[in-house]
Amino acid sequence: MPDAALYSLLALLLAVLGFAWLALALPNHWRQVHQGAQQTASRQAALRSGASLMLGLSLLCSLAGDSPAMAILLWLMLLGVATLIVALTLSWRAQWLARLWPARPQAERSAD
Amino acid sequence: MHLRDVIQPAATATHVVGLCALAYFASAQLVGLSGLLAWWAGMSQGDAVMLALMLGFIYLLLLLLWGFSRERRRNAWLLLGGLSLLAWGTPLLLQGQA
Amino acid sequence: MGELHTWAGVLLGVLLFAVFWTGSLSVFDKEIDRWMMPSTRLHWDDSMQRPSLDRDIRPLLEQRAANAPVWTIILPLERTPFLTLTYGSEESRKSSRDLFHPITLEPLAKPLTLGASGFIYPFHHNLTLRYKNIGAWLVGIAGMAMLCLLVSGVVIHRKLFSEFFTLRLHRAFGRSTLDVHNVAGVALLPFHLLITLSGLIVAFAIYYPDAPQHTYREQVQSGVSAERAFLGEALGRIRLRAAKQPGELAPLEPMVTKAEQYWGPGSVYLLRVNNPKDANGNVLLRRTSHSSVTKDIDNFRFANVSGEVMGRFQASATVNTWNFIAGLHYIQFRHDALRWLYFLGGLGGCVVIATGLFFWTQARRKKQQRHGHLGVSLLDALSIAGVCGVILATLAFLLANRWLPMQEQLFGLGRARVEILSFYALWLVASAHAVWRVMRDQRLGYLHAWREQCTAIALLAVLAVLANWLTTGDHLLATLRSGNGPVAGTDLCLLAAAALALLAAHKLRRRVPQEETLEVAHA
Repeated sequence: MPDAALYSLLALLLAVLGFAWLALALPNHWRQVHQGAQQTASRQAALRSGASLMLGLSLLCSLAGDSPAMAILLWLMLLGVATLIVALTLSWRAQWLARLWPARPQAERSAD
Repeated sequence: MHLRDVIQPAATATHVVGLCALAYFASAQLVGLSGLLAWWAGMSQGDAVMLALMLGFIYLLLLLLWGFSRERRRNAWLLLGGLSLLAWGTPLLLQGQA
Repeated sequence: MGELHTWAGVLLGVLLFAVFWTGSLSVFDKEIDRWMMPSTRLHWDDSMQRPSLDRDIRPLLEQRAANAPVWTIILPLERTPFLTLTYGSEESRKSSRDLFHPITLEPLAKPLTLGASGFIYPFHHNLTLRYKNIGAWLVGIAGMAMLCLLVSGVVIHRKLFSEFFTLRLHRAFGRSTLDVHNVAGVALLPFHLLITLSGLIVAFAIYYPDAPQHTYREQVQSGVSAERAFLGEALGRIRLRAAKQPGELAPLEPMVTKAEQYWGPGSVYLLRVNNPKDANGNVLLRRTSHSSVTKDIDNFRFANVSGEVMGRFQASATVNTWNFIAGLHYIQFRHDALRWLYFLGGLGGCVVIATGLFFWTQARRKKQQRHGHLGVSLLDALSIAGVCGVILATLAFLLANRWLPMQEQLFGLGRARVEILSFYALWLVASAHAVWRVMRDQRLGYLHAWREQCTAIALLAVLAVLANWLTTGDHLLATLRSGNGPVAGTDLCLLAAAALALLAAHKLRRRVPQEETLEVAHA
């Protein structure tokens, strides 16, 4: 069924975005992606809320494409895949994540 | 190579294996007891036993984690041993009365 | 003290790896079966007309097993595209099975192999050590240990969640091994928890055999076994006694039609005729459960002679909770994406365990460097034998399946038995190679052993693909073009395995001079 496949793919993309934001919320990864910029508490909160929203939407997408039990199971597996994708991106092409939540240009670079 | 170097690992090995066995025994007794209680609470015999069986592995997990996190080894043995006795004896007592 | 801890960890790790490896393969056991049993590379889908039970199948049974105490008919399904007829007793383990083409009903050539579903899957849950369920107990202990590790690991390493996404692959091998272990471990945590717990719960009958004793006390007092009573009530497993009077078996199709009135058309897939020629015999019908996670154990029972419904078993909600948990583990329902994710998740678990073993022995090596290398070397040998060894053994099993001549008996043993011996033989050889390597060079022998066995894995995997081509003609391009999923998938996975093994061997080759430099620096 092409429909279910599309929903699953969308669920995966939303999960990847959610985990990417979760990763960016962590100070060491924010520094890694934005070349030395500092993390702030308010931005951390914003990233985490955004991440929760994305993960929630991801679950809804899954549920749209399958029976509930299979959808939840699929979602749990997709979360695992998304985690690995984000971890690998951080390891090899960390800069790609910069666009997902741009840092404000001048203000933060003063601390380092 | 002191005697201590042999006894200490042997004692630890015995403790680990023994406590695992005791925890398993305790969980098995709890399964039997849970089934009986569930049946008396109104479930059918089959459902009661099935429920107890599914819980059994959770019991075992909790008992193992709890048993191996005690500060003193002795406490783990005493408490798990006591629990086993209680769980083993209660059904016999209850059925003796009923 | 620490040594004991280390040895226990490695032994448990090796056992867990074998369970996860064979478990991952079992997700696609029916597909691997197609690869191993070329005569069954057929096609079946729901739109096709299934063979008539009375007109086509009944005569086959009468011909082959007129006096058997049990007939089992398994109708063709998508993943098992052939008719299966089994005749034998429910009591004795000896029963024979014949496969037939799903449309022409021609007998298929005997596979002469146990295949993945007959060897790899049983190995997964009981190590094929059936005596007193010893194998199942070992697997259960490993599973319970895994659960404890997962839960306590999360609690102990709470702070690790700040390093959730850290994969320092460019750094030193030891650091990156740990990172891989951590990230893969965390990513797959929900999956591993579900799989491990559900795997244990599925096998309750082995691990808590006396559970029904107290609740079924009344039955026990009147002479019935508690276990039998429980299985009958909860799972619908009843055994009815034969009348020892002859009886004529009524037509089977009307029975199927009747059951499908309740279950839906085309849902019956299994019929078991107990005591076919007996007046008190009965026919049991089971249905498929492709579209639900819950494994369906409902059944209809019909009387032999009258063809009337004797009983209908419907699992209760509580029992269906167990069936849901079991279904989660078995993944026999239709969902290609989930099946692939399970497969990859299981292999991911293998990676977690293997990297864990590697890191565990590496850390021990650093501690015991000054106290002599023998213990450390043997631990390394055990790890290598546990990880590479079982993979090589599996490849030997596949290769033997293709290369052994198609004769019922070989060297005085059944052909299927010889395939299994090949599995264990290569495992033994790999273990011996590992021991030899670490003894020969106690400092760096383990690296050579890992590298050489990875290369061997790559070589055997490619040979297996070639073997399939040469012995069946269904080479990869042909199977891809004809849409033969199972065979193409198996070949592709073998090639992927070869590529990964070569990559690993390459990385290990570059590691040897690094290790030598580090050794010199520490000396």
